[in-house]
Amino acid sequence: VSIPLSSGATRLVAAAILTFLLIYRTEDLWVLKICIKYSSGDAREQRAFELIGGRATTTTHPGLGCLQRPSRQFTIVSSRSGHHQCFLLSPSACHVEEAWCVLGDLPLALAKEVLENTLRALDFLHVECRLVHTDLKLDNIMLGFADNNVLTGYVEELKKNPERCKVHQGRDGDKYPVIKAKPFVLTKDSFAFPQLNDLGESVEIPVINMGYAGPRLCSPKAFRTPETILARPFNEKIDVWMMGCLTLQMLTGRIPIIPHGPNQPWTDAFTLAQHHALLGPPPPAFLAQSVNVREYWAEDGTWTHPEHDVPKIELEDLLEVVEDKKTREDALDFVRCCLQWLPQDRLSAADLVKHRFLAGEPKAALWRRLEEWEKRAVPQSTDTPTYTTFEIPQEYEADNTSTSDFAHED
Amino acid sequence: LLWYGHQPPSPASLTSLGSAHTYLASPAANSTFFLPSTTTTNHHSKISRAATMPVPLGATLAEIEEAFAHQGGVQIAQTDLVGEETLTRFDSTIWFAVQVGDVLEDRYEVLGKVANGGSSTIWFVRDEQ
Repeated sequence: VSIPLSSGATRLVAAAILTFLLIYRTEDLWVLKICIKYSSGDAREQRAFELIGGRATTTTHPGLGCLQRPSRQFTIVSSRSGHHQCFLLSPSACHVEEAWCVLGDLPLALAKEVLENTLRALDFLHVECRLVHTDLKLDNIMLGFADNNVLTGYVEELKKNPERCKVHQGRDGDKYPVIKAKPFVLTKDSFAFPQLNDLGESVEIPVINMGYAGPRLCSPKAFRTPETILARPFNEKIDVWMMGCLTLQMLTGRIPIIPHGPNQPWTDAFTLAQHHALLGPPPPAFLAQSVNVREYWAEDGTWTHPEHDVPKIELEDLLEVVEDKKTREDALDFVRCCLQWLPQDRLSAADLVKHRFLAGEPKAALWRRLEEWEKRAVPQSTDTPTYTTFEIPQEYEADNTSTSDFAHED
Repeated sequence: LLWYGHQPPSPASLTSLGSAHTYLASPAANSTFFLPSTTTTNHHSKISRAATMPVPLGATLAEIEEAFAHQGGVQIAQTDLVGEETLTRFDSTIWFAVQVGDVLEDRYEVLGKVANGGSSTIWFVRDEQ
């Protein structure tokens, strides 16, 4: 190199190359989700991404950016364990619960950002993709990285201190390597833009309307809606109900609907009793809809189930921990818009975004970060699967074991 | 079948790939437990396993422990449950076996494990293309 290093142009070129290398170094790092042996859940997730991919090129809906979607999906085959669906994702810092642990407290601004982004993503899913998420919970909402230093630091750490391998002795002499996961080292400035994740439990609205998706499939036990407990037809408004539960959880630090005692399962009767306590007696239209309501309510809406009484707790009591009076009142109204006996009485995700509880926050910073996030976002995949004729898997009805459950880790 | 193992923690393992020959030259490969293997027969051709096989098939637990002893750090006791093992109804035969250093789809090098879910494992990978 004969050009003097002090020359301005050389420095500029060097800086450009360095920048390029830095960008390159972070751009080629990904997170790969490898599912267990091909199952109905993968089919649903794959189908969901097909639907989203079909809309992604034409839509201008802001919810698309609030949804974590893979840049590639492929299948790997192992002679030992069969076919596995893989999803290649950009790395996220952590989910909301982890962020809550790191911060020690969930700031109201972050909670609102999480709610708003999730609602936007849900509106996109409901309206444009005709999909119901059905599995909303805090660990399915991911927070992006605010800076990529965490990532490079993480790679260094992996090099220096790799986790050790252990051999799991499975059934039939199967040997399986297990290593401990190494979490990212996060500080309170590490995370940014929330994105909705995990469409593994999502159901298509047409499939629901045809009656192929049983209500037993839906939602974490703690967030089940009255209509799914009573095995009635349901629609995308179950997502809105779950948003109400999430709001309460984030503002009060407690899941609103709890089991009867420690280590007890969520029973139908006690869950409905708590719904009755929080929402008041169900309206006549609700009581007129199906036969099995008579197990729980008399014709005038009084609770009659012999096993449990209606607990003495109201929405106002739950929200008492919120100190600011205006926030408390707005939050109460917001939750009331989500938690309603009848699905048609709940607001849609699009209307909830405009609710005054979410308004008033300075959005400029948020949108700037969204733009940054989208700049980093993945190019449209070339091997996105094309539309195929969709056979409704038999498992939609039969498989209710995959429903998420707060009581168990899986 | 090759089924598990952890490649020696040499710096080369994270920077260069297809490095079976590197391992043959590295001191760790002198261990009798390391059988050189260039490509895996475990999976279809899209997955290559750069690591040498650390333990012969049918090794006793003591031999497995010994084979992993060079890794440094604290050995996980066979009785301790880590990661997906803690799940209720965990059945290893339907989980894909991944090791650090594996290259999937001929381009994604596994650098480490980020987390595991109820029905998936999540790995940190580098795209080599």
